[in-house]
Amino acid sequence: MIINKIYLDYEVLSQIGRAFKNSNPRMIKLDNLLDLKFYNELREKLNFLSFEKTKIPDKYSFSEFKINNEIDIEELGDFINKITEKKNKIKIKLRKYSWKDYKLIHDSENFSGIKFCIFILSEESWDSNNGGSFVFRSKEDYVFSPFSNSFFIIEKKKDMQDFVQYVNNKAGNKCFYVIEGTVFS
Amino acid sequence: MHYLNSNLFNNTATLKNKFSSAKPFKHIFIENFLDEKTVEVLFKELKNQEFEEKEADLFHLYQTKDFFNLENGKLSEFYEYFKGKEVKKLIEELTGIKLKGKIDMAGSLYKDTNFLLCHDDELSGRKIAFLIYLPKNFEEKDGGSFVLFDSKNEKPLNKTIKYLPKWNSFLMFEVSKISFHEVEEVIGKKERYAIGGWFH
Repeated sequence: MIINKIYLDYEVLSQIGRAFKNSNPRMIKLDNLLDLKFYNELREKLNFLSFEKTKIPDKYSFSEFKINNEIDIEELGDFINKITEKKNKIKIKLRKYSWKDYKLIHDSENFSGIKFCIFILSEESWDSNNGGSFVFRSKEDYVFSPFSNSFFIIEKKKDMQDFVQYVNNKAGNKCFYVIEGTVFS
Repeated sequence: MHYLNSNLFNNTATLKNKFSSAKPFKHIFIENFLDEKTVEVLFKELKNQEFEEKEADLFHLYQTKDFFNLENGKLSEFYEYFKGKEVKKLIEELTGIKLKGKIDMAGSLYKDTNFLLCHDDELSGRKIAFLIYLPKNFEEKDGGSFVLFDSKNEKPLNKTIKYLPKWNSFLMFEVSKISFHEVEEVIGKKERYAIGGWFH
């Protein structure tokens, strides 16, 4: 089991689904998403994996690791489907952001649909002044800063652009990992 | 008031050649650009301007309003001079690019953690981008360098040349689909002032 069992309770899950459905834009943020034991083991594992740096200077810079069996994608997909009340497939990527990483708004990135992220910190905390926040911009900004074991899901509409703030020198040697997911109908 | 270092006008053929042969795209970096007294006067006035914090995915920095909006003072006079006939003639001679006599000009300030990520500056009407650097004693470790990228199929690839923002130096480049550049993040307490803009 990878999801915190509190969130697998039928009533709780129904409430989360309703909160997601009734917000505009559709979104919700949850803390302590992953089972704590699983989270700590995953964090330990990630700190030793070899992430590969990928950079297109005018688009993004981050490191990526090809997921094998680190995450139970079926369980995660089932959880997402219960929130969104749909039966869709999900696609996830495991990325690492550290000093000098970013993801810019780009015309070629025209995905509209549901996106979600789970943050895993290399250390106990991440100061939002380090950058690295995930920003969804339309008439206003919806900002999700990396927070230990936190999760957000958002419906990105066509008029919405998203980016990841540049991670600045205040991050030092700290980094954060993020499971970035998209939902395909 | 003398604005430009008079030696510039004796050396245009060399500068022209440097600009046109520069890689990865046409540009030039000139030290001791302004007259020594002038640069101190401009810097003093620039530091007293109101700088507004600007933050987006691509940048985090501080900027003054466009000098076009200044009603008086040395910066306003400098703006008028810089968009005037003498500078227009000089820039046209160095670049071989015909200009309209219209410029944008503003002050910028980068503090610790401020940056400008890779982009090409392309926007309708912009022909030449320029910067006059006014930071004192910037070293490599302080960040804030201006970096040029090479490109392939109009996509930026690697950092190729880096210029430290040296006091009273001038950098200009031709704005094009391949004029990819960035300003490295400033690290530490030094402040990186500059006056910059575009010739249209």
